[in-house]
Amino acid sequence: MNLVEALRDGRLGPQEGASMERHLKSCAVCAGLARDLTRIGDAVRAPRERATQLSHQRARVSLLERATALPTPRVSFGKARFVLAAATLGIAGAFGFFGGQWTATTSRVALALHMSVPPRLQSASEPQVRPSDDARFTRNRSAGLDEVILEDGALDVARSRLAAGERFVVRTKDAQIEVRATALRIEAKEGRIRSVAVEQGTAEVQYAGFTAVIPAGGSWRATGDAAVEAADKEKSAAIPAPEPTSSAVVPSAPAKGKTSSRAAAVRGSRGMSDPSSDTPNENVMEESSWTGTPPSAPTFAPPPPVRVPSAASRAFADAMASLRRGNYADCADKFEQFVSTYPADARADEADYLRAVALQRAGRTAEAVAAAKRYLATRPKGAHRADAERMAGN
Amino acid sequence: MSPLATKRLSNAAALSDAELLLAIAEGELGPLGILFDRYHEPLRQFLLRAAPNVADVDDLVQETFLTATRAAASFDGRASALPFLMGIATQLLRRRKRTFVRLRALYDAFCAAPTASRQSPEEHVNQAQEEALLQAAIARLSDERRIVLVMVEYNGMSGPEVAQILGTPVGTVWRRLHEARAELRRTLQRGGR
Repeated sequence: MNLVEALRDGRLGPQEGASMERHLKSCAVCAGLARDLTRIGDAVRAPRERATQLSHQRARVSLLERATALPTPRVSFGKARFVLAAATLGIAGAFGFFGGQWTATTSRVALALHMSVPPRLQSASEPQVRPSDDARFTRNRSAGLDEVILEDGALDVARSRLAAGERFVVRTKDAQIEVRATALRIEAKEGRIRSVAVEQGTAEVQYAGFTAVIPAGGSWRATGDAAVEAADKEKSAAIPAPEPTSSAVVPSAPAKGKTSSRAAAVRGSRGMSDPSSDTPNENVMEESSWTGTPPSAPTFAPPPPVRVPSAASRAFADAMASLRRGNYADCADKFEQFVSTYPADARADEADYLRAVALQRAGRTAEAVAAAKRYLATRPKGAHRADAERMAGN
Repeated sequence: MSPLATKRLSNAAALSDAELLLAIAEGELGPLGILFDRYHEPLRQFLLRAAPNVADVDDLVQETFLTATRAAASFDGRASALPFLMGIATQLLRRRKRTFVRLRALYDAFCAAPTASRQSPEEHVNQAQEEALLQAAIARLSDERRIVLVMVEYNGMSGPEVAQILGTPVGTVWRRLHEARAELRRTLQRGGR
């Protein structure tokens, strides 16, 4: 059965596959196995009820409402367990009270009611703030926003995932730290930020007009020295920087969305690579070592444990970056290179398909059609066959 | 909303999945709707097959997208976000199973499950009934086996892709797939073909 399965799953080489197909024509037992596998596959692929347009729209609206809704006070999982235990005790007590006369039907109803309670998959957890002995801070909590104003000392913050709409922000007189981390330490002195060290997750530091994202294992330190700051101003004036009050941060990729264009992002192993960046993550981290940065500038210490992406990942990310920048010809070449260099990679299917997309966007229609046809011919179980068929004009 | 974000949203439909997830990770929710439009039905179809015993598949689909908003920053930038969403849905299925497994056992003890009627050989010959038997057998598969079977047979994924989504060795994927097929073949054989 294994060889028949292997043939079906595309795990045999061309020669083995051809040999096995010849064998199937002459062996009734193996042919029966193959038929069974086909029937099983057909059963799995048997059509299921599709969502109607109306139900799709309702679900869409509901999703966006849930995603934008501020966290409402909900019974925590711990409380739910307590309630459940109490209800169980109540049922047990009722059994005793009625002397075992309670019918099975009643039990079913009670249990069914419990079963109807939707599961709590995500529990909104409270951020844990542990101040140092000399810490001075105030904490304000309003709907969805947990804000700590740090005057002096250090805070160790530990929190689990953020619920939708929740924010946890630490402010000083000169900085704001948007905490997306699960563990980090923030230090301040006389109301001014001194350092941020992230153990897990990420934190976004807004300081002197710049924004920096500190990845897991990374740290950030601001050093204040008026004299050097003045020298820094002179230096930054020579550089076409829009913000003369601060020396810049890491010259990484142009930031997107709410991060300003002059913002700099340091993304480590846990961060998502910026698609518009030419520079792989590890190179960004190398640049963040600040060999030539004036001492007054906010400095970033590169996190020691940096996971270096594989050559395949870098090649794929490079090709994706070209696609997003609109360098379609370059992108097609890179995806072609990727497919030929890493044919067994899990992303080879995407790369092969995206090559056709890139060629089409480059206006090389005939080549795009040929690429789509090649995709269809070489990837019988490809994930993008439907799109490729449209592209090939089938 | 920043001008850049507005500009990005104005042609959001043309954005790649990675760009959408990047925007979602930065706190924008408009792209979530686009992502939902793209993958709601494929994800729903996957879950209808991978979790036939879950009554509220639509709720699970929503939970998957909500979780994706929190996990968006970890998306690896590949062309399609569907495997990423399927991975999240699979984790939610596992978690849901762990949460309810004890209560479910208790509930089942009180509520007798409907037993399959014994069918005569003549009935088994009927193809529709055989199909029903096979579907029931698929529903009885363990979640681990069924999810692998659906990913390979319905989504057309390769073993390495499934292994990456589930975080298991490729050999484990092939083993589960083989066991699932063997179990279903036994059903076919018992059904009298």
